[in-house]
Amino acid sequence: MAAAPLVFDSDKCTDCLACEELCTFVHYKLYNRYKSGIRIDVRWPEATRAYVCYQCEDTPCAEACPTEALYVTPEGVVKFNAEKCTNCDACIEACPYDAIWIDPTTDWIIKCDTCDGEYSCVEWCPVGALAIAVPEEVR
Amino acid sequence: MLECYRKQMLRVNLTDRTFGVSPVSDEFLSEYVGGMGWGVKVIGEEVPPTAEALGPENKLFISAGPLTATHAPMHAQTCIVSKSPLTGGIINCYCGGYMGGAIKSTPYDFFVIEGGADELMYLLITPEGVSFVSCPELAGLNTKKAEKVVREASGHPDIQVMSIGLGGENRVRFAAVMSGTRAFGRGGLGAVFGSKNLKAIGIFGQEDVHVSDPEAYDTVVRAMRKDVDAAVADQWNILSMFSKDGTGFGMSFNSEKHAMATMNHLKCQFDGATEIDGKAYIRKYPTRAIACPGCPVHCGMLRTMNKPTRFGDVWGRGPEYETMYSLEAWPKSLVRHLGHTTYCS
Repeated sequence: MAAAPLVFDSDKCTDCLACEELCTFVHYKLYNRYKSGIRIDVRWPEATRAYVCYQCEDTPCAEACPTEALYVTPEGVVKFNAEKCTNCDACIEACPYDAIWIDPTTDWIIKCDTCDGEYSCVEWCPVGALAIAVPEEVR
Repeated sequence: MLECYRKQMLRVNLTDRTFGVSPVSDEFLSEYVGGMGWGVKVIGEEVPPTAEALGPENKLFISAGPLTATHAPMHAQTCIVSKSPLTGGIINCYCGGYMGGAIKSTPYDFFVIEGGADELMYLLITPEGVSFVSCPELAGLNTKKAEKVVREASGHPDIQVMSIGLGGENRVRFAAVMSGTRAFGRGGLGAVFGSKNLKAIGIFGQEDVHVSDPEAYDTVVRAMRKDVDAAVADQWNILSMFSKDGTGFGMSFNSEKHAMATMNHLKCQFDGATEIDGKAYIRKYPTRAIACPGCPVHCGMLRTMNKPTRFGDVWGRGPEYETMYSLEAWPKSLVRHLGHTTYCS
C-alpha cells in the first residue's frame, strides 16, 4: 500500500515558492530552495510544473538503491538513510518523475518524506494548489 | 543573535575590475536594519554630497533584508540605494520577484558597486566567484534579451538577472532597472547603471539562509500569516482587491476621486479608466495570478492575449497600476496597452 501522494494544481499555483521555503524550514530549520522536497519549476507563459515524489507503489528508487539507503516504511513511504548512501545516484536515474535531486551543500539526495503523511506544505500553500490525494483518486 | 546575516559584504570596483570581501560588524547590522538602513548609511558616508549621480564617484548598494527568503509573508523585496540622477538625493528603490532570494543565497549581506567600466560589461556573482564580462555586443538589447544572454552565458538556468535596456544605456534620468518582469522604477537607477557601463548583474547562490531562533520565529510568522490571510479573505480589504484584480484594481476609483496622475501629471482624471483597469483585463483575457516568493497576496497578473501585441508577444505580466495610469491616455486597447508595457520594459 503506497502512501497518499501530493496533488498539484497548476491552475491555482501563483509561483510563490512558499511550499519550498516551508519544506526546508520544517526539515532543517533553514531556508534553501535547493534542499526542498518539492521543486516548483516556473515556466512563463506555460503552466508551472511541480516536481515531487508521486509515491509509486513499485518504488523504483528503492529498488535501484544498491545499499538500502532508500527504504520503504510500513506506511509505504520511501525514506532516506544518509549513513548507507554511497552517492551512486542510481535512484535519481531510476525515478520516473525526476523527483529526486542532490543537496548542493552535502551531496546527499533530497526526496519528499511526506512529513509522516502530514505534508506541511499543503496547509502553508496560500491558494490551495497543493492537496493530499484521497484514496479513490490515486492514479 | 544575528544568525540571519552572513556578516560579510562584497565590494566590486568596475574601473579596475577588482572585488573584495570585507567583514561587517554586528553593531552595523543591528543598528541599521535592512536594505534602506544599511544603504543610506553606506551611500551617505561614501558618496560625497557634491558627487555627480552619473559620475564614477556614485555607488550602487544592493541588498535584501533579514526577512527576505524566509517563510515570512510579504517580504520578497530587493533594495538598491544610490544617488539619484533625477532628484540629486539618495534614492531607495525596491523590486519584487525572485531577486531577493538569490541575493540571500549568496554568502554576502550586500553588494557595493563602485567606479565605472570603460566598455559595456555585465557582472556575474555565482558560487564560482565574481566575474566581469565585457559585452559590447549587448548594447541596445532590451532587458528580456539581455537577461537571456546573461543566463545562458552563466551556465546557471536559475540565475536571477537585473539589467537595463536602451533607456538606461542612454542615461535617461528616469530609466528603470529590470529584474525579470519586475522593475526598480524609482529615481532613475537605470541611468546610474548606464553611467557605469554596467548592462546587467547576474546573481546566483545555493547557500543556506538561517534565522536566529527558529521556533520563536515560526510562531511569529504563523501569527503574521494568519493576519495576512484574514486580510486577503476580507473583500473590503485592499489586500483582497490586490489579490483579485492586481494592482490596477483601483484605477477607476482613483479617477472618480480625481486622484490619478495621468498625462504626465497634467490631469487627474481619465474618462475611459473603467475600460482599461485591472478588472477590464480580468473580464477580457485569461489571467493567472502571480506572487512574489512567500507572498499570499499574489497581485502580479500574467495575461495571455488572443492575438499578438504590436511587438510580437502574446503574453505579459502586468501591467501594474503605475504603467496603467501613465500610459493609459492614448492606447485605449488592452492588447496595445500590454504591448507597450512589455516593450517599455
